Amino acid sequence: MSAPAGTIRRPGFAGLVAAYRFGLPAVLTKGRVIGAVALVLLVVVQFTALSPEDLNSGITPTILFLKLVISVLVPVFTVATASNVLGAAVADGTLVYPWLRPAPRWQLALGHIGAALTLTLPVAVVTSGGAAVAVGSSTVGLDSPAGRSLLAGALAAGVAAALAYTPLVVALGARFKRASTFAFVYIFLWEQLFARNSTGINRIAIQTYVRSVYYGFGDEESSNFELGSVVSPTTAWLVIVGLVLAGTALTALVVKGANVE
Amino acid sequence: MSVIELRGLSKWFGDVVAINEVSLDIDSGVTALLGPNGAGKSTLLRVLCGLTRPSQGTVRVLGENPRSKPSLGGRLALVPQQEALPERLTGRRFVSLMAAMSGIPQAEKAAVAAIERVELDPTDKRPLKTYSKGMRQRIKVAQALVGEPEVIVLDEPLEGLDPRQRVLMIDLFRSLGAEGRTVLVSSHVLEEVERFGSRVVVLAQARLAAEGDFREIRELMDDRPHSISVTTDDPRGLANALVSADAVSNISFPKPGTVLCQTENVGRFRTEVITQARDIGARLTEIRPTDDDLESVFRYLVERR
Repeated sequence: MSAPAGTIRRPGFAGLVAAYRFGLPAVLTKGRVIGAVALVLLVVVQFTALSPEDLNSGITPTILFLKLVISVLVPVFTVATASNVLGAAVADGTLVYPWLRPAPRWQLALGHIGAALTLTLPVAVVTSGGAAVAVGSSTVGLDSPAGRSLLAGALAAGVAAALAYTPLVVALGARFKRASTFAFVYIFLWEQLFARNSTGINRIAIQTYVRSVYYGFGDEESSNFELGSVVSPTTAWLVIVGLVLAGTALTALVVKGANVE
Repeated sequence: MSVIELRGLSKWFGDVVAINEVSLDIDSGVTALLGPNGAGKSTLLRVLCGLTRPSQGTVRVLGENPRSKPSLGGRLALVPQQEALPERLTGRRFVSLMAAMSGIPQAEKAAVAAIERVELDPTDKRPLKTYSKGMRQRIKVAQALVGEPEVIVLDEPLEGLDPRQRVLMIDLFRSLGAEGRTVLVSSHVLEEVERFGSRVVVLAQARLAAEGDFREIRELMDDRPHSISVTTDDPRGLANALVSADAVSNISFPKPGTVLCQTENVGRFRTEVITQARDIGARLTEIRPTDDDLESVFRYLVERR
Protein backbone atom coordinates (compact mmCIF):
# COMPACT_ATOMS: atom_id res chain seq x y z
CA MET A 1 0.00 0.00 0.00
CA SER A 2 1.49 3.29 -1.05
CA ALA A 3 1.61 6.53 0.86
CA PRO A 4 -1.40 8.84 0.70
CA ALA A 5 -1.74 10.28 -2.75
CA GLY A 6 -4.22 13.04 -1.95
CA THR A 7 -6.22 12.36 -5.09
CA ILE A 8 -10.00 12.65 -5.17
CA ARG A 9 -11.72 9.76 -6.94
CA ARG A 10 -15.00 9.80 -8.85
CA PRO A 11 -16.44 6.39 -9.61
CA GLY A 12 -17.99 6.23 -13.06
CA PHE A 13 -20.43 3.62 -14.30
CA ALA A 14 -18.73 1.02 -12.08
CA GLY A 15 -20.06 2.88 -9.03
CA LEU A 16 -23.63 2.51 -10.28
CA VAL A 17 -23.15 -1.20 -10.97
CA ALA A 18 -21.60 -1.67 -7.52
CA ALA A 19 -24.54 0.12 -5.85
CA TYR A 20 -26.92 -2.18 -7.74
CA ARG A 21 -25.00 -5.30 -6.68
CA PHE A 22 -24.82 -4.06 -3.09
CA GLY A 23 -28.61 -3.59 -2.96
CA LEU A 24 -29.55 -6.79 -4.77
CA PRO A 25 -29.15 -9.28 -1.87
CA ALA A 26 -31.69 -7.27 0.16
CA VAL A 27 -34.21 -7.79 -2.65
CA LEU A 28 -33.60 -11.36 -3.69
CA THR A 29 -34.27 -12.97 -0.34
CA LYS A 30 -35.78 -16.42 -0.11
CA GLY A 31 -38.96 -14.94 1.38
CA ARG A 32 -39.48 -12.44 -1.42
CA VAL A 33 -38.83 -14.94 -4.19
CA ILE A 34 -41.35 -17.29 -2.56
CA GLY A 35 -43.75 -14.33 -2.29
CA ALA A 36 -43.32 -13.57 -5.99
CA VAL A 37 -44.01 -17.17 -6.97
CA ALA A 38 -47.01 -17.24 -4.61
CA LEU A 39 -48.39 -14.09 -6.21
CA VAL A 40 -48.19 -15.58 -9.68
CA LEU A 41 -49.86 -18.76 -8.40
CA LEU A 42 -52.54 -16.68 -6.70
CA VAL A 43 -53.43 -15.11 -10.04
CA VAL A 44 -53.83 -18.56 -11.58
CA VAL A 45 -55.89 -19.84 -8.63
CA GLN A 46 -58.07 -16.74 -8.57
CA PHE A 47 -58.82 -17.10 -12.25
CA THR A 48 -59.63 -20.78 -12.04
CA ALA A 49 -61.97 -19.97 -9.14
CA LEU A 50 -64.16 -18.00 -11.53
CA SER A 51 -67.04 -20.21 -12.60
CA PRO A 52 -67.74 -20.92 -16.28
CA GLU A 53 -70.99 -19.00 -15.87
CA ASP A 54 -69.02 -15.96 -14.72
CA LEU A 55 -66.72 -16.21 -17.68
CA ASN A 56 -69.55 -16.58 -20.15
CA SER A 57 -71.77 -13.99 -18.58
CA GLY A 58 -69.84 -11.06 -19.92
CA ILE A 59 -67.09 -8.71 -19.01
CA THR A 60 -67.76 -7.80 -15.39
CA PRO A 61 -66.25 -10.65 -13.35
CA THR A 62 -63.18 -10.98 -15.53
CA ILE A 63 -62.51 -7.27 -15.70
CA LEU A 64 -62.75 -7.12 -11.94
CA PHE A 65 -60.11 -9.81 -11.82
CA LEU A 66 -57.78 -7.89 -14.16
CA LYS A 67 -58.38 -4.73 -12.19
CA LEU A 68 -57.49 -6.53 -8.97
CA VAL A 69 -54.17 -7.65 -10.41
CA ILE A 70 -53.10 -4.33 -11.93
CA SER A 71 -54.53 -2.01 -9.27
CA VAL A 72 -53.89 -3.95 -6.08
CA LEU A 73 -51.70 -7.05 -6.29
CA VAL A 74 -48.88 -5.51 -8.34
CA PRO A 75 -48.66 -2.32 -6.23
CA VAL A 76 -48.84 -4.28 -2.98
CA PHE A 77 -46.02 -6.61 -4.03
CA THR A 78 -43.98 -3.64 -5.22
CA VAL A 79 -44.40 -1.92 -1.86
CA ALA A 80 -43.51 -5.05 0.11
CA THR A 81 -40.33 -5.45 -1.94
CA ALA A 82 -39.11 -1.94 -2.67
CA SER A 83 -39.64 -0.43 0.78
CA ASN A 84 -36.97 -2.71 2.18
CA VAL A 85 -34.17 -2.15 -0.33
CA LEU A 86 -32.69 0.93 1.29
CA GLY A 87 -34.94 0.74 4.35
CA ALA A 88 -33.18 -2.38 5.62
CA ALA A 89 -29.75 -0.83 5.09
CA VAL A 90 -30.84 2.26 7.02
CA ALA A 91 -32.34 0.14 9.82
CA ASP A 92 -29.38 -2.20 10.32
CA GLY A 93 -26.74 0.45 9.74
CA THR A 94 -25.11 -1.11 6.68
CA LEU A 95 -25.92 2.03 4.68
CA VAL A 96 -22.79 3.48 6.30
CA TYR A 97 -20.60 1.46 3.93
CA PRO A 98 -21.87 2.76 0.57
CA TRP A 99 -22.67 6.15 2.10
CA LEU A 100 -19.02 6.74 2.99
CA ARG A 101 -17.87 6.32 -0.58
CA PRO A 102 -17.35 9.03 -3.17
CA ALA A 103 -20.06 7.55 -5.40
CA PRO A 104 -22.63 10.28 -6.18
CA ARG A 105 -25.86 9.94 -4.20
CA TRP A 106 -27.88 9.54 -7.40
CA GLN A 107 -25.80 6.44 -8.19
CA LEU A 108 -26.62 4.93 -4.81
CA ALA A 109 -30.30 5.78 -5.33
CA LEU A 110 -30.50 4.49 -8.89
CA GLY A 111 -28.49 1.36 -8.06
CA HIS A 112 -30.88 0.43 -5.26
CA ILE A 113 -33.96 1.27 -7.33
CA GLY A 114 -32.55 -0.94 -10.09
CA ALA A 115 -32.07 -3.73 -7.56
CA ALA A 116 -35.72 -3.43 -6.49
CA LEU A 117 -36.89 -3.42 -10.11
CA THR A 118 -35.00 -6.68 -10.68
CA LEU A 119 -37.84 -8.35 -8.81
CA THR A 120 -40.78 -5.95 -9.01
CA LEU A 121 -40.67 -5.48 -12.79
CA PRO A 122 -40.80 -9.15 -13.86
CA VAL A 123 -43.41 -9.96 -11.22
CA ALA A 124 -45.59 -7.05 -12.37
CA VAL A 125 -45.25 -8.04 -16.02
CA VAL A 126 -45.84 -11.76 -15.42
CA THR A 127 -48.88 -11.28 -13.17
CA SER A 128 -50.49 -8.58 -15.33
CA GLY A 129 -49.76 -10.51 -18.51
CA GLY A 130 -50.94 -13.76 -16.94
CA ALA A 131 -54.19 -12.14 -15.86
CA ALA A 132 -54.72 -10.70 -19.34
CA VAL A 133 -54.12 -14.11 -20.93
CA ALA A 134 -56.65 -15.66 -18.56
CA VAL A 135 -59.27 -12.98 -19.17
CA GLY A 136 -58.69 -12.72 -22.92
CA SER A 137 -58.75 -16.41 -23.62
CA SER A 138 -62.06 -16.80 -21.84
CA THR A 139 -63.77 -13.83 -23.45
CA VAL A 140 -62.65 -12.19 -26.69
CA GLY A 141 -59.99 -14.77 -27.54
CA LEU A 142 -56.28 -14.04 -27.64
CA ASP A 143 -56.09 -14.34 -31.43
CA SER A 144 -58.46 -11.47 -31.98
CA PRO A 145 -57.27 -7.84 -32.23
CA ALA A 146 -59.11 -7.14 -29.00
CA GLY A 147 -57.34 -10.01 -27.25
CA ARG A 148 -53.95 -8.85 -28.49
CA SER A 149 -54.71 -5.29 -27.36
CA LEU A 150 -55.78 -6.60 -24.00
CA LEU A 151 -52.52 -8.48 -23.53
CA ALA A 152 -50.33 -5.64 -24.77
CA GLY A 153 -52.19 -3.18 -22.56
CA ALA A 154 -51.85 -5.37 -19.50
CA LEU A 155 -48.12 -5.92 -20.08
CA ALA A 156 -47.57 -2.20 -20.56
CA ALA A 157 -49.62 -1.45 -17.44
CA GLY A 158 -47.49 -3.93 -15.48
CA VAL A 159 -44.30 -2.19 -16.63
CA ALA A 160 -45.82 1.21 -15.88
CA ALA A 161 -46.94 0.16 -12.40
CA ALA A 162 -43.53 -1.26 -11.46
CA LEU A 163 -41.69 1.79 -12.83
CA ALA A 164 -44.04 4.30 -11.20
CA TYR A 165 -44.29 2.79 -7.73
CA THR A 166 -40.80 1.35 -7.18
CA PRO A 167 -38.63 4.52 -7.01
CA LEU A 168 -41.11 6.34 -4.78
CA VAL A 169 -41.44 3.38 -2.43
CA VAL A 170 -37.63 2.98 -2.26
CA ALA A 171 -37.41 6.66 -1.19
CA LEU A 172 -40.22 6.18 1.31
CA GLY A 173 -38.49 3.11 2.75
CA ALA A 174 -35.22 4.99 3.16
CA ARG A 175 -36.95 7.82 5.01
CA PHE A 176 -39.59 6.15 7.20
CA LYS A 177 -39.54 3.04 9.35
CA ARG A 178 -43.24 2.48 8.63
CA ALA A 179 -42.93 3.07 4.92
CA SER A 180 -44.93 -0.05 4.02
CA THR A 181 -47.85 1.02 6.22
CA PHE A 182 -47.90 4.49 4.68
CA ALA A 183 -47.75 3.03 1.18
CA PHE A 184 -50.55 0.54 1.88
CA VAL A 185 -52.72 3.31 3.31
CA TYR A 186 -52.06 5.28 0.14
CA ILE A 187 -52.98 2.34 -2.12
CA PHE A 188 -56.06 1.12 -0.28
CA LEU A 189 -57.49 4.37 1.03
CA TRP A 190 -56.39 7.03 -1.39
CA GLU A 191 -56.23 5.16 -4.67
CA GLN A 192 -58.96 2.59 -4.15
CA LEU A 193 -61.41 4.54 -2.04
CA PHE A 194 -61.10 8.29 -2.64
CA ALA A 195 -59.32 8.89 -5.93
CA ARG A 196 -60.81 6.17 -8.07
CA ASN A 197 -64.19 7.71 -8.68
CA SER A 198 -63.40 11.36 -8.15
CA THR A 199 -62.60 13.46 -11.17
CA GLY A 200 -59.79 15.81 -10.36
CA ILE A 201 -58.55 13.98 -7.29
CA ASN A 202 -57.75 10.97 -9.42
CA ARG A 203 -55.09 13.04 -11.18
CA ILE A 204 -52.95 12.71 -8.08
CA ALA A 205 -53.14 8.92 -8.01
CA ILE A 206 -50.48 6.78 -9.68
CA GLN A 207 -53.14 4.21 -10.56
CA THR A 208 -54.84 6.70 -12.88
CA TYR A 209 -51.79 6.82 -15.13
CA VAL A 210 -51.21 3.07 -15.00
CA ARG A 211 -54.79 2.49 -16.14
CA SER A 212 -54.41 5.12 -18.83
CA VAL A 213 -51.38 3.27 -20.19
CA TYR A 214 -53.51 0.14 -20.35
CA TYR A 215 -56.31 1.99 -22.09
CA GLY A 216 -53.94 3.32 -24.73
CA PHE A 217 -53.76 -0.16 -26.24
CA GLY A 218 -57.51 -0.58 -26.52
CA ASP A 219 -59.56 -0.68 -29.67
CA GLU A 220 -63.32 -0.40 -29.98
CA GLU A 221 -63.99 -3.88 -28.65
CA SER A 222 -61.36 -4.01 -25.95
CA SER A 223 -62.45 -0.64 -24.62
CA ASN A 224 -64.98 -2.75 -22.78
CA PHE A 225 -62.05 -3.67 -20.58
CA GLU A 226 -61.46 -0.06 -19.73
CA LEU A 227 -60.23 0.32 -16.16
CA GLY A 228 -61.05 3.98 -15.79
CA SER A 229 -58.78 6.08 -17.97
CA VAL A 230 -58.42 9.76 -17.40
CA VAL A 231 -55.52 11.04 -19.44
CA SER A 232 -54.09 10.22 -22.83
CA PRO A 233 -51.53 7.40 -23.00
CA THR A 234 -48.80 9.85 -23.98
CA THR A 235 -49.52 12.00 -20.96
CA ALA A 236 -49.66 8.89 -18.80
CA TRP A 237 -46.20 7.74 -19.96
CA LEU A 238 -44.79 11.23 -19.49
CA VAL A 239 -46.14 11.30 -15.95
CA ILE A 240 -44.69 7.86 -15.25
CA VAL A 241 -41.26 8.89 -16.56
CA GLY A 242 -41.59 11.96 -14.37
CA LEU A 243 -42.41 9.75 -11.37
CA VAL A 244 -39.31 7.63 -12.05
CA LEU A 245 -37.11 10.74 -12.16
CA ALA A 246 -38.82 12.27 -9.13
CA GLY A 247 -38.52 9.00 -7.19
CA THR A 248 -34.83 8.72 -8.02
CA ALA A 249 -34.16 12.35 -7.10
CA LEU A 250 -36.14 11.95 -3.87
CA THR A 251 -34.24 8.78 -2.96
CA ALA A 252 -30.92 10.54 -3.64
CA LEU A 253 -32.00 13.46 -1.44
CA VAL A 254 -33.09 11.14 1.38
CA VAL A 255 -29.78 9.25 1.19
CA LYS A 256 -27.82 12.49 1.13
CA GLY A 257 -29.60 13.92 4.16
CA ALA A 258 -29.78 10.67 6.13
CA ASN A 259 -28.40 10.47 9.64
CA VAL A 260 -26.46 7.29 9.07
CA GLU A 261 -26.37 5.11 12.17
CA MET B 1 -3.63 23.55 9.03
CA SER B 2 -4.28 20.28 10.86
CA VAL B 3 -5.67 17.23 9.09
CA ILE B 4 -8.65 17.15 11.45
CA GLU B 5 -9.96 20.35 13.04
CA LEU B 6 -12.86 20.45 15.46
CA ARG B 7 -13.98 23.84 16.76
CA GLY B 8 -16.51 24.23 19.56
CA LEU B 9 -18.15 21.00 18.49
CA SER B 10 -21.34 19.99 20.29
CA LYS B 11 -23.92 17.37 19.52
CA TRP B 12 -27.08 16.78 21.47
CA PHE B 13 -30.05 14.50 21.07
CA GLY B 14 -33.04 16.17 22.73
CA ASP B 15 -31.93 16.82 26.29
CA VAL B 16 -28.96 14.48 26.11
CA VAL B 17 -25.62 16.12 25.39
CA ALA B 18 -23.39 13.63 23.59
CA ILE B 19 -20.49 16.02 22.85
CA ASN B 20 -19.95 19.28 24.66
CA GLU B 21 -17.81 22.08 23.18
CA VAL B 22 -14.93 19.96 21.93
CA SER B 23 -12.10 21.75 20.12
CA LEU B 24 -9.31 19.61 18.82
CA ASP B 25 -6.55 19.36 16.21
CA ILE B 26 -5.29 16.03 14.95
CA ASP B 27 -2.39 15.52 12.56
CA SER B 28 -0.93 12.56 10.71
CA GLY B 29 0.16 9.51 12.67
CA VAL B 30 -1.81 7.43 15.16
CA THR B 31 -4.05 9.21 17.65
CA ALA B 32 -6.00 7.28 20.25
CA LEU B 33 -9.40 8.52 21.36
CA LEU B 34 -9.75 7.20 24.89
CA GLY B 35 -12.85 7.33 27.05
CA PRO B 36 -15.30 5.19 28.98
CA ASN B 37 -18.40 3.76 27.35
CA GLY B 38 -20.96 6.49 26.81
CA ALA B 39 -18.37 9.27 26.81
CA GLY B 40 -19.37 10.37 23.32
CA LYS B 41 -16.54 8.78 21.34
CA SER B 42 -18.72 7.14 18.70
CA THR B 43 -20.81 10.29 18.27
CA LEU B 44 -17.65 12.34 17.84
CA LEU B 45 -16.36 9.95 15.20
CA ARG B 46 -19.71 9.93 13.39
CA VAL B 47 -19.79 13.72 13.27
CA LEU B 48 -16.18 13.74 12.15
CA CYS B 49 -17.02 11.44 9.23
CA GLY B 50 -20.06 13.50 8.26
CA LEU B 51 -22.55 10.75 9.14
CA THR B 52 -24.52 13.20 11.25
CA ARG B 53 -24.58 16.98 11.54
CA PRO B 54 -23.09 18.71 14.58
CA SER B 55 -25.63 20.64 16.65
CA GLN B 56 -23.06 23.39 17.05
CA GLY B 57 -19.49 24.08 15.96
CA THR B 58 -17.50 23.12 12.91
CA VAL B 59 -15.66 20.07 11.58
CA ARG B 60 -12.95 20.22 8.97
CA VAL B 61 -11.17 17.16 7.66
CA LEU B 62 -8.43 17.85 5.11
CA GLY B 63 -9.83 21.37 5.02
CA GLU B 64 -13.33 20.32 4.00
CA ASN B 65 -16.70 19.71 5.60
CA PRO B 66 -17.21 15.92 5.55
CA ARG B 67 -21.00 16.26 5.77
CA SER B 68 -21.27 18.12 2.48
CA LYS B 69 -18.72 15.92 0.74
CA PRO B 70 -19.07 12.29 1.92
CA SER B 71 -15.75 10.51 2.35
CA LEU B 72 -14.06 13.59 0.86
CA GLY B 73 -13.70 11.89 -2.48
CA GLY B 74 -12.37 8.67 -0.98
CA ARG B 75 -9.77 10.38 1.24
CA LEU B 76 -11.61 9.53 4.49
CA ALA B 77 -12.67 6.05 5.65
CA LEU B 78 -14.42 4.69 8.71
CA VAL B 79 -14.46 1.37 10.52
CA PRO B 80 -17.78 1.66 12.36
CA GLN B 81 -18.38 0.12 15.76
CA GLN B 82 -21.63 -1.55 14.79
CA GLU B 83 -21.54 -5.24 13.98
CA ALA B 84 -23.94 -5.16 11.05
CA LEU B 85 -22.52 -6.14 7.68
CA PRO B 86 -24.18 -7.02 4.39
CA GLU B 87 -24.53 -10.58 5.60
CA ARG B 88 -25.21 -12.35 2.31
CA LEU B 89 -22.14 -11.04 0.51
CA THR B 90 -18.78 -12.76 0.68
CA GLY B 91 -15.94 -10.79 2.24
CA ARG B 92 -14.25 -10.33 -1.11
CA ARG B 93 -17.44 -9.21 -2.86
CA PHE B 94 -18.13 -6.72 -0.07
CA VAL B 95 -14.68 -5.17 -0.22
CA SER B 96 -14.55 -5.13 -4.04
CA LEU B 97 -17.95 -3.37 -4.22
CA MET B 98 -16.65 -0.76 -1.79
CA ALA B 99 -13.55 -0.39 -3.98
CA ALA B 100 -15.72 0.08 -7.08
CA MET B 101 -17.82 2.69 -5.27
CA SER B 102 -14.57 4.45 -4.38
CA GLY B 103 -13.65 4.73 -8.04
CA ILE B 104 -10.68 2.37 -7.85
CA PRO B 105 -9.99 1.09 -11.39
CA GLN B 106 -8.91 -2.45 -10.45
CA ALA B 107 -11.40 -3.03 -7.68
CA GLU B 108 -10.91 -6.80 -7.41
CA LYS B 109 -7.14 -6.53 -7.16
CA ALA B 110 -7.39 -3.77 -4.56
CA ALA B 111 -9.90 -5.85 -2.57
CA VAL B 112 -7.60 -8.87 -2.51
CA ALA B 113 -4.68 -6.72 -1.31
CA ALA B 114 -6.77 -5.13 1.47
CA ILE B 115 -8.14 -8.49 2.63
CA GLU B 116 -4.68 -10.02 2.72
CA ARG B 117 -3.40 -7.07 4.71
CA VAL B 118 -5.79 -7.93 7.56
CA GLU B 119 -4.78 -11.60 7.28
CA LEU B 120 -8.06 -12.91 5.93
CA ASP B 121 -8.38 -15.30 3.00
CA PRO B 122 -9.55 -13.54 -0.18
CA THR B 123 -10.57 -16.88 -1.70
CA ASP B 124 -13.01 -17.57 1.16
CA LYS B 125 -16.42 -18.15 -0.50
CA ARG B 126 -18.47 -18.06 2.71
CA PRO B 127 -20.96 -15.23 3.23
CA LEU B 128 -20.23 -12.66 5.94
CA LYS B 129 -22.99 -14.05 8.17
CA THR B 130 -20.75 -17.07 8.85
CA TYR B 131 -17.76 -14.94 9.95
CA SER B 132 -16.61 -14.92 13.57
CA LYS B 133 -16.52 -11.64 15.49
CA GLY B 134 -12.79 -11.28 14.90
CA MET B 135 -13.16 -11.91 11.16
CA ARG B 136 -15.98 -9.38 10.96
CA GLN B 137 -13.80 -6.75 12.62
CA ARG B 138 -11.00 -7.45 10.18
CA ILE B 139 -13.20 -7.32 7.08
CA LYS B 140 -14.48 -3.96 8.33
CA VAL B 141 -10.90 -2.75 8.51
CA ALA B 142 -10.23 -4.17 5.02
CA GLN B 143 -13.14 -2.24 3.48
CA ALA B 144 -11.74 0.94 5.03
CA LEU B 145 -8.22 0.31 3.73
CA VAL B 146 -9.31 -0.51 0.18
CA GLY B 147 -9.54 3.08 -0.95
CA GLU B 148 -6.08 3.89 0.46
CA PRO B 149 -7.57 6.84 2.34
CA GLU B 150 -5.45 9.56 3.92
CA VAL B 151 -7.60 9.62 7.05
CA ILE B 152 -8.78 6.40 8.68
CA VAL B 153 -11.19 6.53 11.61
CA LEU B 154 -11.65 3.31 13.59
CA ASP B 155 -14.33 2.97 16.26
CA GLU B 156 -13.32 0.33 18.84
CA PRO B 157 -11.63 -1.85 16.19
CA LEU B 158 -9.99 -4.20 18.70
CA GLU B 159 -13.25 -5.39 20.24
CA GLY B 160 -13.76 -9.10 19.77
CA LEU B 161 -10.22 -9.79 18.58
CA ASP B 162 -8.05 -12.44 20.19
CA PRO B 163 -4.62 -11.38 21.57
CA ARG B 164 -2.74 -12.37 18.40
CA GLN B 165 -5.16 -10.46 16.20
CA ARG B 166 -4.90 -7.45 18.51
CA VAL B 167 -1.14 -7.39 18.05
CA LEU B 168 -1.61 -7.67 14.28
CA MET B 169 -4.08 -4.80 14.22
CA ILE B 170 -2.02 -2.55 16.46
CA ASP B 171 1.01 -3.15 14.20
CA LEU B 172 -1.18 -2.36 11.20
CA PHE B 173 -2.35 0.93 12.72
CA ARG B 174 1.23 1.87 13.52
CA SER B 175 2.39 1.10 9.98
CA LEU B 176 -0.50 3.14 8.53
CA GLY B 177 0.57 6.03 10.74
CA ALA B 178 4.19 5.58 9.67
CA GLU B 179 3.06 5.80 6.02
CA GLY B 180 1.89 9.33 6.74
CA ARG B 181 -1.81 8.59 7.13
CA THR B 182 -3.91 10.07 9.89
CA VAL B 183 -5.25 7.21 11.99
CA LEU B 184 -7.76 7.95 14.74
CA VAL B 185 -8.58 4.90 16.87
CA SER B 186 -11.12 4.90 19.68
CA SER B 187 -10.93 2.64 22.70
CA HIS B 188 -12.15 2.46 26.27
CA VAL B 189 -9.26 0.24 27.35
CA LEU B 190 -6.24 2.07 28.74
CA GLU B 191 -3.85 -0.82 28.16
CA GLU B 192 -4.77 -1.00 24.48
CA VAL B 193 -4.06 2.67 24.01
CA GLU B 194 -0.73 2.31 25.79
CA ARG B 195 0.35 -0.16 23.12
CA PHE B 196 -0.43 2.26 20.30
CA GLY B 197 2.41 4.37 21.72
CA SER B 198 0.66 7.36 20.32
CA ARG B 199 -0.88 10.70 21.03
CA VAL B 200 -3.95 10.38 23.20
CA VAL B 201 -7.17 12.38 23.34
CA VAL B 202 -9.30 11.64 26.40
CA LEU B 203 -13.04 12.17 26.15
CA ALA B 204 -15.17 11.84 29.26
CA GLN B 205 -18.68 12.94 30.12
CA ALA B 206 -19.04 14.38 26.59
CA ARG B 207 -16.11 16.73 27.13
CA LEU B 208 -12.47 16.80 26.16
CA ALA B 209 -10.74 15.74 29.40
CA ALA B 210 -7.10 15.68 28.36
CA GLU B 211 -4.85 15.43 25.35
CA GLY B 212 -1.18 14.84 24.75
CA ASP B 213 1.46 12.14 24.56
CA PHE B 214 0.46 8.89 26.22
CA ARG B 215 3.15 9.25 28.93
CA GLU B 216 1.88 12.73 29.87
CA ILE B 217 -1.66 11.43 30.14
CA ARG B 218 -0.49 8.45 32.18
CA GLU B 219 1.38 10.74 34.60
CA LEU B 220 -1.64 12.98 34.86
CA MET B 221 -3.71 9.99 35.78
CA ASP B 222 -1.17 8.76 38.33
CA ASP B 223 -0.63 12.18 39.95
CA ARG B 224 -4.23 12.58 41.07
CA PRO B 225 -5.20 11.98 44.72
CA HIS B 226 -5.78 8.27 45.17
CA SER B 227 -8.15 6.71 47.67
CA ILE B 228 -6.93 3.46 49.23
CA SER B 229 -8.76 1.27 51.70
CA VAL B 230 -6.62 -0.60 54.26
CA THR B 231 -8.11 -3.37 56.41
CA THR B 232 -6.18 -4.05 59.64
CA ASP B 233 -6.61 -5.23 63.24
CA ASP B 234 -5.32 -1.84 64.52
CA PRO B 235 -6.85 0.91 62.39
CA ARG B 236 -6.30 3.77 64.88
CA GLY B 237 -2.66 2.86 65.49
CA LEU B 238 -1.91 2.51 61.79
CA ALA B 239 -3.67 5.81 61.02
CA ASN B 240 -1.53 7.64 63.62
CA ALA B 241 1.63 6.10 62.22
CA LEU B 242 0.77 7.05 58.64
CA VAL B 243 -0.08 10.64 59.62
CA SER B 244 3.20 10.90 61.56
CA ALA B 245 5.09 9.60 58.54
CA ASP B 246 3.36 12.21 56.34
CA ALA B 247 2.26 9.46 53.92
CA VAL B 248 -1.38 10.52 53.67
CA SER B 249 -3.25 13.74 52.92
CA ASN B 250 -6.51 12.68 54.53
CA ILE B 251 -7.74 9.77 56.59
CA SER B 252 -11.11 8.39 57.73
CA PHE B 253 -12.67 5.26 59.27
CA PRO B 254 -15.66 4.24 57.11
CA LYS B 255 -16.26 0.99 59.04
CA PRO B 256 -14.67 -0.94 61.92
CA GLY B 257 -11.26 -2.39 61.02
CA THR B 258 -10.87 -0.21 57.93
CA VAL B 259 -8.81 2.91 57.31
CA LEU B 260 -9.58 4.94 54.20
CA CYS B 261 -6.49 6.86 53.18
CA GLN B 262 -6.02 9.57 50.55
CA THR B 263 -2.58 10.04 49.03
CA GLU B 264 -1.03 11.73 46.04
CA ASN B 265 1.92 9.37 45.94
CA VAL B 266 0.74 5.81 45.68
CA GLY B 267 4.23 4.29 45.51
CA ARG B 268 5.41 5.94 48.73
CA PHE B 269 2.14 5.13 50.47
CA ARG B 270 2.48 1.42 49.69
CA THR B 271 6.02 1.37 51.14
CA GLU B 272 5.02 3.36 54.24
CA VAL B 273 1.91 1.38 55.07
CA ILE B 274 3.90 -1.86 55.19
CA THR B 275 6.76 -0.31 57.17
CA GLN B 276 4.47 1.40 59.69
CA ALA B 277 2.29 -1.67 60.16
CA ARG B 278 5.37 -3.79 60.87
CA ASP B 279 6.73 -1.18 63.31
CA ILE B 280 3.52 -1.01 65.40
CA GLY B 281 2.79 -4.72 65.06
CA ALA B 282 -0.48 -4.28 63.13
CA ARG B 283 -1.68 -7.07 60.88
CA LEU B 284 -2.72 -6.01 57.36
CA THR B 285 -5.57 -7.98 55.78
CA GLU B 286 -6.19 -6.01 52.59
CA ILE B 287 -4.90 -2.95 50.70
CA ARG B 288 -7.32 -1.97 47.99
CA PRO B 289 -7.58 1.13 45.78
CA THR B 290 -11.21 2.29 45.76
CA ASP B 291 -11.05 4.63 42.76
CA ASP B 292 -8.65 3.00 40.34
CA ASP B 293 -11.29 2.15 37.78
CA LEU B 294 -11.14 4.04 34.52
CA GLU B 295 -14.39 5.88 35.26
CA SER B 296 -12.82 7.51 38.33
CA VAL B 297 -9.73 8.46 36.39
CA PHE B 298 -11.80 10.09 33.66
CA ARG B 299 -14.00 11.83 36.23
CA TYR B 300 -10.91 13.27 37.87
CA LEU B 301 -9.55 14.50 34.53
CA VAL B 302 -12.83 16.21 33.69
CA GLU B 303 -13.06 17.88 37.12
CA ARG B 304 -9.53 19.22 37.06
CA ARG B 305 -9.83 20.72 33.54
